[in-house]
Amino acid sequence: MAAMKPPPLLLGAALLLWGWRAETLPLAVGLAVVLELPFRLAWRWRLRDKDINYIVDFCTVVLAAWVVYAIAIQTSAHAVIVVLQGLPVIVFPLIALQRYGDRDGLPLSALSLRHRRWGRSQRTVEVGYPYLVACLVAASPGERGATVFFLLIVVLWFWALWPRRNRRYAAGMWLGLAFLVSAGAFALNGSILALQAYLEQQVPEWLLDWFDVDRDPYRRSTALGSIGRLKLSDAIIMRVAMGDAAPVVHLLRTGSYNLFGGNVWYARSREFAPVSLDEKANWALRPVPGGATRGRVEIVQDFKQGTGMLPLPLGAYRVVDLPAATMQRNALGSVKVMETPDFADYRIAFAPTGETDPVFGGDDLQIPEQYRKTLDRIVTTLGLRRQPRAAPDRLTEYFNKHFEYSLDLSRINGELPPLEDFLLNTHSGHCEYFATATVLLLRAAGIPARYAAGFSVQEYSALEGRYIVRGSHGHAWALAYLDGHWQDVDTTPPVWGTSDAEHHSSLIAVYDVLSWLWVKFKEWRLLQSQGHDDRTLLGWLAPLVLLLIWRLRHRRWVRRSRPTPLRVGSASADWPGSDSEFYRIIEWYGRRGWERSAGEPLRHWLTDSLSRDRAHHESLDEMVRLHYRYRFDPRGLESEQRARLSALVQDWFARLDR
Amino acid sequence: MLRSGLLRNFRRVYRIDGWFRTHLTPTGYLVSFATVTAAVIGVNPRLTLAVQIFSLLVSLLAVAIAWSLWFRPRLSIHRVLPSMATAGEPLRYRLRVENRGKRRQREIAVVDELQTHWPDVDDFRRYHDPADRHRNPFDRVVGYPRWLGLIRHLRGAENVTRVLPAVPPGTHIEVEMTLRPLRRGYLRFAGYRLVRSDPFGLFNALRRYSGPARLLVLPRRYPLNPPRLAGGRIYQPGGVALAANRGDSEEFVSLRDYRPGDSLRDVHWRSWAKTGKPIVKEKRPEYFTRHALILDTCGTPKGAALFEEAVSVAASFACRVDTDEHLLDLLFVGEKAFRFSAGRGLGGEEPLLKILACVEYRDTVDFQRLHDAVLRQALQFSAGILVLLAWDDARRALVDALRGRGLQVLILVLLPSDAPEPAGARDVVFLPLGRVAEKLALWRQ
Repeated sequence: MAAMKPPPLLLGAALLLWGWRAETLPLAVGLAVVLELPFRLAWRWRLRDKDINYIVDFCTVVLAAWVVYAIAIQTSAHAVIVVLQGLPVIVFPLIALQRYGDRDGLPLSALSLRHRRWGRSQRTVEVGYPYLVACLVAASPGERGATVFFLLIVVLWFWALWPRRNRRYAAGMWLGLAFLVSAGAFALNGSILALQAYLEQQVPEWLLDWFDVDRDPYRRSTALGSIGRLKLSDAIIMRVAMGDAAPVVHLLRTGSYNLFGGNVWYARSREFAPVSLDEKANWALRPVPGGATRGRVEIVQDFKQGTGMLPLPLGAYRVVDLPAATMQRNALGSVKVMETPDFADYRIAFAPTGETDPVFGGDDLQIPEQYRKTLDRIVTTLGLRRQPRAAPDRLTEYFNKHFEYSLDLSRINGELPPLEDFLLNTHSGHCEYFATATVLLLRAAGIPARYAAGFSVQEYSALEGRYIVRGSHGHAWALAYLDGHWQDVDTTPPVWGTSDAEHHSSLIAVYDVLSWLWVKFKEWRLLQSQGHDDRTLLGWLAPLVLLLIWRLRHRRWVRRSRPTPLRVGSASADWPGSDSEFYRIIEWYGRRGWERSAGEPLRHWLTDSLSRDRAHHESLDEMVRLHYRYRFDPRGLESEQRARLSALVQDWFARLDR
Repeated sequence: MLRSGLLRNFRRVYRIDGWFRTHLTPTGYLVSFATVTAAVIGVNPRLTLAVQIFSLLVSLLAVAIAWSLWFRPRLSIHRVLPSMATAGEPLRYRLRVENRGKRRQREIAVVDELQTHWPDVDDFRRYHDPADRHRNPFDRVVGYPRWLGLIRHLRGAENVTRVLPAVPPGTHIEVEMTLRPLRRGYLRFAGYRLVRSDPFGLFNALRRYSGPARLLVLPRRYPLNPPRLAGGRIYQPGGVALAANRGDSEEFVSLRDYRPGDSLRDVHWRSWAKTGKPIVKEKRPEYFTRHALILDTCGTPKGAALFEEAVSVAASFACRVDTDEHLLDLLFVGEKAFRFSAGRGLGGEEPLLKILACVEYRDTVDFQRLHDAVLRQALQFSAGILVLLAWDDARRALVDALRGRGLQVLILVLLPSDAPEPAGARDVVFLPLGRVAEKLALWRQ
């Protein structure tokens, strides 16, 4: 089996493809030239095992550092991509070593510590084709130029496979099959993308339905009716910064629900539709409201698995600087993002009076029959039907005056539905009671209303200079449709914030500092990835490689050897028989990837390495015999035998041309 | 229980690995590796275009695999083997390949397959792999590399692959195959496998043919100087038939030419006078020189690891003792005590080498049995070569007993490579594993 060496120019072309895709074309051109130059050079480096080990170790250390850097600036899949993009440069010294060195490949002992310890293995590893794979995979990140990329990888792969083809079959058949394979690959690629789009749509919904009820945009369980004490988390969920001049944001909504039953809120009109980008590449949730007061809020938060519901202020119309593959919104105003970075810093433009989504008459006024009597009585008492516009204020006043906020859940009359028990007996509960009661009372007064779940923005951090939102700030409130737009109606007594704060852990200050440091690091990492510094660093690797080469030469760790066994055919007569024409044939095979290993006996090369090239090599027997005698027989060849060797070689090349 | 479960899994893994090795070419491996890489990297098509690479390579592999489903070459193959081989030495033999079809066959490789024997737990426990000490603790504890080594050892050699030259229809060719037996004993050939890759050179189509055969592999031998053993002639009851040429019996057989060393008393003066050249009387030889080659097959703590080298050492001496002039008896114990004679009228060392090719180590056999068997026959020998697996009291007792009976004994003791030579041992040649060849080459009596 001939050594698996890529044909000339293939690796250079692969490097150019990588350079084009990674937008480092000048660097790629330089590397490609360096890599292809040895085919035009007559000298090779004579490297000792120690030198090779040194260079392999150097590459390993650089690769490890690059991986650490990638993980530092990116997360999960994105870090893998950063690592990939740097691979062609980081492992370049290895392939350069093989091209410029006088060996067939890299010694196994250089790549494996076990073999290095043994120090016995003479096996070498050819890294040409693995480097090709590295270049092609490294060229794959990003979506631009997909069609050209496909055509180029088809060309490069079949170029790589051409020297390895089975010569039992005609070239025409091979090309026909290659075309067939390419067409099949094109179709398969389309099918995979279609399948992926389908799964992308379906799987998150399945998973959310099954595992993540609280973030479900369609369904929201409440703790209505539960007994005991609610346990709330002090973990910081997000950071919120607001401009001084902007309207203050108190509530960030992650979901809206319009159907209530069995202590669960549901969202009817659940279909999500894609959100498009506007001309400035910002996510356009709804048209820019004209004339209304506008504001902007900055949110810094984590997204688990790159997916989540966006916390939105009332009237949000643009999401800025949030890189995501998909953003979708339903008719109730809930917005979910997919394929977003695990950590994001984005801005939301909003207009508090700009939420003018249509009302769903039946759903937004639905009241469970069991509550109707109680609700009607309260609505009548408060006179809500007479003055709908005053209803939010009256309800707020009503709840503040007669009800109290408590996380201690208790029941007085266990036979009544929990909400009714809350309204008639306990007069005590948490935000879900207040929000649900408010929604139903508003509806009973003929005002379309919805249940909103999300977070309350109430804790300002002097350390961070912005608001922090904890898990315990999770909140529920009502949305009422009045004056042609939706507005927040939060009737939970304001004491709830201080009540919750009493239950904070004593170590919360330490936690907050550590959390702040961690988020600072993540913000730095985000800046790095947005600033494309990885590419700059990639450029720094090239001088490092050159530095390595210079150091090696400066310290005389490598020496040139001239001429190499592969290149001796041309001229010099340093030893008997060195002008044998047979070297032309060796060189011819070498150019086509059938190189003879250093020190490999010609006979062995002929019978083993070239055995797959039956088409050309069957006639070489006599030439090898004469060549051997010419090289090694002290008496040399007689003049007619010498002429015969010359004629045979010429005839061989003449037959090739035919 | 755990070990037998592991071995079952080893077998499964080996079969799966073997399937890949026989079906995928090196290029196929590269494409498969790239396919898996592209699949991992391209799992999210929004981030990378690696899914395009994946699609292309999967299509390539699919076509290559589909291509392999049709492969019906009409070739017949016949193997021409020599009568014997030697462990560690290249064995060259020929395959005769005949094309009975109507199509020229080219770019087909033939693999001459040896039978694979699946080892049981006892085989695995007994097997000592010298490479184990270079392996990491996990490999040593789990033992899969050792199991692979055992499979190779039991198979006896690596399968030989050869790309066939083009075979025109209706003709035949012969190709030379070379394999290197790894161990002594029988090599069992199972059959042939014809291999043809798809046009892209990724995936092999296979066609198997039955072709069972077996070949005896003699033990590995080391070069050494011929031993100088005591030549005292001893009366050999019943040994007349063994002595075709020389001996000291008083019973006259024939006349023959004088050879240097013949006794003057045997000169037949009258014939000398008639012919003008010295003629001697030849007598039935009931007295002749007989040497013993005693091979230790009995259990010792490190015996299994040392035994193969012990056999090689015994075989090396069997070849160097002059069997033209002397009788050489090989003694060892297995199920019972064995004794095989060679030399003089019984032929050369070849019968002994064949027996040594098949002799087995018995870790359940007590050395006392060998001790008794040797001493029972000790008086027939003038010298003995003892190849021992340890240097303990039992073995020392045998040596002392032999010396006490006046035998010249040459003692060779195999040692583990890292074991120090025991102090105070007189006239004992210690042979550490790994340095046996070196020590024997330097050995002088």
